[in-house]
Amino acid sequence: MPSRIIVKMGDLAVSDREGDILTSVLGSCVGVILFHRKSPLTGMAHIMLPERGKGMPESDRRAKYAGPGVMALVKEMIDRGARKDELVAKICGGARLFGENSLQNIGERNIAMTRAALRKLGIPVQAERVGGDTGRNVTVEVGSGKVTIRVAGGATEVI
Amino acid sequence: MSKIILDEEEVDVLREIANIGSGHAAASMEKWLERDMVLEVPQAFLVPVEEVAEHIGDPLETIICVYARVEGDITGHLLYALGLDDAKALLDILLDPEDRKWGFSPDNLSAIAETGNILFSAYLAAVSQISGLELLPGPPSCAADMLEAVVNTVLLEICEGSEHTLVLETKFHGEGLSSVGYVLFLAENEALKRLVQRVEEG
Repeated sequence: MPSRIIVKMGDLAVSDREGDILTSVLGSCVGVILFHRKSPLTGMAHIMLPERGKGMPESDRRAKYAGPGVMALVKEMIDRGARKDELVAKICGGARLFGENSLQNIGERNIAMTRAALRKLGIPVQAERVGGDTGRNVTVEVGSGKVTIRVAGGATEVI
Repeated sequence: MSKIILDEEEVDVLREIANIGSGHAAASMEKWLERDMVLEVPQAFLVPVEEVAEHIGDPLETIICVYARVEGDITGHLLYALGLDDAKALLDILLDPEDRKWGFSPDNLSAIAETGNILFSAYLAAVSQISGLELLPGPPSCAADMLEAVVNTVLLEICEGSEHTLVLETKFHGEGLSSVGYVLFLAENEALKRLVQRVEEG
């Protein structure tokens, strides 16, 4: 039986079992999905913040911050048999739900730091749906690599 | 900075503060909606940030919500959220029968934002009074989105210093209505501790 793995804020998950689903609900958070080009191995990290502020405590959540989060997910994929140069990414999230002048624009900074982390590791971004003003329910099917994004109200898109 | 955790006694005081704030908010709602309100006892739960949404409801449910930053002597965040049916019931009261058109139109969202603003102002006025802290709501903004997307986005503002957060939730019911939504008060633990201290000194 394939499982449905909910990747919560600050967490990451990896699976190589075809048919498994990795899923997250993203507002200003960013979802990074990595695929291994040579196997079904797939992983997702649910990034919360662009970087750790000065004097802020260390976190035991592996994917809380963009840079360390991407790194931890890549490491997990490598531990499961992938090579770094065999990975490709899709990213989504980083929305601004409440318009201008209300909350800090964490979403935009999350996107920028996530892209920077992937670039630094030489991992190409194959597709992305980022920014905008709506939350996204993202589901990733292991094996097919199909990423489905649903927004409130039910509209869905596959990337 | 070390991780700041609230103890049980502080949570009790905060629940009582939420109770007083919500009582005033309900009174202002009674005037605004011209009907009696029933207030549930506020819930206070201290949970890891990533579990907040599921404690409140179905993470995937579409909600209409009003957000305002709490400004002044402490920083916090207020959310007023309604399910779609509740939002519809609220609009049925607020809008003239002739203008009543259901949907997320700017007019409808602004009527809901105004309701949030009234709730927040009354809630904070009461909390200010018992704490002696100056607390004012920032301008309200409205969104219609999935519960978890909304709640997590607000939590990002407070989760850096602490990974457990206290959620103070009050549900409101109007006479003859199933629900007219709920109010959440969120703040960093340090700010909440300060609030408790001030109330206990007062």
